[in-house]
Amino acid sequence: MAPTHRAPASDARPDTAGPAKAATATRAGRRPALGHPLLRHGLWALAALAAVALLTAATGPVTDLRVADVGLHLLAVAGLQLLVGTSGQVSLGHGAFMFVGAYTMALLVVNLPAVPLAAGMAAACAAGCLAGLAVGAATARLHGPYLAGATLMLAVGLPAVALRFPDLLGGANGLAFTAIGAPPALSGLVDDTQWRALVVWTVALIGLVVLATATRGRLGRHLRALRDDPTAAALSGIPVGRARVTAFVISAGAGSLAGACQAYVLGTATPSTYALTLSLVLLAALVLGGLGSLWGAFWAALAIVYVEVAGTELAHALELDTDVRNNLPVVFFGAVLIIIVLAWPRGVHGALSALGRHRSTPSQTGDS
Amino acid sequence: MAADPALRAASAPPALRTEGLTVHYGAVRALDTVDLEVAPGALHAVLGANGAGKTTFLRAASGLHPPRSGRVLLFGEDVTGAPAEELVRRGLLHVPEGGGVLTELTVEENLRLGGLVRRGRAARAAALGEVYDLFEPLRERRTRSASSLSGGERQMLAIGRALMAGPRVILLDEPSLGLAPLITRRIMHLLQDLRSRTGLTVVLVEQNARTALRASDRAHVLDQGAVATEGPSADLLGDPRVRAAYLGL
Amino acid sequence: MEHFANLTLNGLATGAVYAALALSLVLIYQATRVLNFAQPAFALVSAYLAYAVTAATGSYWAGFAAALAAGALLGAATERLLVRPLRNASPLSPIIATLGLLMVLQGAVGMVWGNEPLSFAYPLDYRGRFSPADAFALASVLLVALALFALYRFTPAGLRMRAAAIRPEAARLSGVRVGAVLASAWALASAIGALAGMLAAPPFLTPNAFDLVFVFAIAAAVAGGLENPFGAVAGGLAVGVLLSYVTGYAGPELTALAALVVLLTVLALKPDGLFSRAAARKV
Repeated sequence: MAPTHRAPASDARPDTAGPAKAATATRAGRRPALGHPLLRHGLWALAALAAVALLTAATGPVTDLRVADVGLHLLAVAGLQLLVGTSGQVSLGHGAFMFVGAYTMALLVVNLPAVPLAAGMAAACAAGCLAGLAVGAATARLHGPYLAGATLMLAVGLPAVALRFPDLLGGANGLAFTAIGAPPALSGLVDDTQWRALVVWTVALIGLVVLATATRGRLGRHLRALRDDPTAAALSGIPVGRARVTAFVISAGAGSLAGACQAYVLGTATPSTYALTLSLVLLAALVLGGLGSLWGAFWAALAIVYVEVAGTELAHALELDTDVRNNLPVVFFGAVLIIIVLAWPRGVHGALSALGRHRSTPSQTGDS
Repeated sequence: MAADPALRAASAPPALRTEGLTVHYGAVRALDTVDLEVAPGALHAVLGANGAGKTTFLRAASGLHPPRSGRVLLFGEDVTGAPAEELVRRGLLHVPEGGGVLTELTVEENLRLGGLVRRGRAARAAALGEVYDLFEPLRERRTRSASSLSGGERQMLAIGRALMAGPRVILLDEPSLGLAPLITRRIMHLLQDLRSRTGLTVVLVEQNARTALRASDRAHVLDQGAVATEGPSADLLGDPRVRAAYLGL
Repeated sequence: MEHFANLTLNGLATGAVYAALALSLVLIYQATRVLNFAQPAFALVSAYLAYAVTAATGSYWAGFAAALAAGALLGAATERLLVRPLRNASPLSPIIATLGLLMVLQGAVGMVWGNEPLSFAYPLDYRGRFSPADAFALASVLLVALALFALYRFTPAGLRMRAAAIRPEAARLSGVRVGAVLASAWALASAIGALAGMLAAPPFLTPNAFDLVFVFAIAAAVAGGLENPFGAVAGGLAVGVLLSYVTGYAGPELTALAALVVLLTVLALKPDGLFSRAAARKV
């Protein structure tokens, strides 16, 4: 098992190569264990950004915005992946963290137009992490249906806050603002929509590098151990509460950044964007894409954006009415959830455990 | 397998008979072509070490775990593959290890649950009275939670619940487990008494070989899922090789 | 003081709805260890069917009966087709499967009836303080709770249901047909959920109408201890009254967050809910 993982051919598949690389690095000593994967993930991110730049340069504004949409959903689902896929906690409240990010961004731009974009993103991330800390700490002792129920309440409850404070948060219409376009220096080189796609992907890829590094590192090992057998993990000295809260914080930070990106792309933040359906679709897409890997998050993001597109086109071709069209994606994702769970006789968690064993074998031998 | 000539001569079919019963747990073969025959009204012991397949045998016979191959016959009728809840209606009752008492219910609720397969309110009430006559301690504790019972009382409740269904064959899994020798003796006496009064057929799975052989008429000894030896209990008890090899006596 | 009394009465009437939905969640959880996230969708489908039947026949009560029947049918079918195959799967699987069902049913309702609000009739006169409609809601839910208590405590069917839920294998060995019993528990619970839908629907019905009701029902069910029907009813009424105060004094938009805060506080103090028994089983 281990030798094939370390073979040069594995460089072509960053995802499966990850733990094996981390394992060799751990064996060699602490410093490379931190430095090496980060560098490698960074290089991958740069390559991906270059690809996005080429893609958007070759296509028109409609595709640019879809590419941006994929990027921000990728970040959101990747954050959820850490929570659901890696640590095995079903959270239905991810849309609430996107809400936090979107409104932080919108509030900043509306009230302090001079604030640079990067600062806005940083503020959104910080707000999301704080929210994640609060929610994670409050729900640290909940498990299974209790956690799912509590986070579902969050998903329904938080967006309603915008309705309560219409003067500050704009009520049901939300907050609209003029999106920051491409900097003057780049005018002529990139147009506005292309610039937005690049901004979103830059943010998303930074987030993904952090998520990938955390998943490969000690936190990821702890979370997988917790997911596979909480009792054994606690007995072997893993700080259960801290690991779970940290996962919540990072996951919420990623979700919040994705929300900020969405507000930036759309130029608006409305409560209805972040309704319960969004949280459910994120989870469904994640299950569809595959639990446990960042590639799963990528397929999920593609699915979210293009199921919507396909639904609209299908409805148009078949001349379905708007009620049918609007509900097609939700029905599709719901059916996907049911089919995957039923067709996977050992259950999602069983598949997860198999995955966990498969992945952790090399790193465990590396640790001992 | 050479059946007892006396049994072969009898016109009535055996109360319980298995033919080539084979059970797998995943890839593991837990029971390997077990042939066994229990005459009506017999008290039959199934012995063997831990992991010999005794419990698996009972679970396959009672319909809890469908066998991979082989047949189960109840009074000559093929019941292979019938689920446990249907076999209860045909008079085959399985008392699992530890009794399977529902500790969240009261003593009387446990007994009433056992009697639900009987038709008619009067029949149920009569059965309840009989069980209380048989186990006085249960009558005294009828409204208490079953979790408050001692180990011996729980075993009485488990047997009593099975009796409520009006069984023809009763399968008992380790009724003496964790009980004091005195209580165990009382339960064995009770089984013998029931058998002689009502003609009930009892299959007794035991790790405690000495007790079971003393109480039973015939016995099978299982070893690694297969029948190692069988015969009248008194003979097995007296055979030094059997005692040494399988019974640890 | 007048305001406070009004809020309390309103809270009891709306709390009855939460209690009914919470009760349906708890009955299902008790029977099969599944928190049924599709429960509000069952109520939704039932209420829309009631709307259609009432529109066709002109009788509110024909619609009411159709809703209860539809709820029961949906519950039994879900147990049989979705929950039973997952009996030995991980606890995550039924959560995800019922969420999928929630999305499918909610989306399907939107496809058939549209996302625009439909006006939905009250069973009785709804005007005034603690109207006949309010009284009907409270009385029907209390009556259902009482009937359930009698069913579980005194009837053979109730005994079978309890045994099948507590220890399915031991129940089978006493001749209980566990599969059929659990399906009927789902049917019964989902009919009660449909009742909650009928009470919650007026004056307007939309595909998202029960999202908030569901949130409060979860709060009530979990706070009351997921396994205790009495906890669900008490929790539902308490949540209703509490949120009525929140609405009256702080604004209706904050009710969901307030419910979450209350729930988390309860769980921090008693992790298995207020009315959980000492020997609560591990989830």
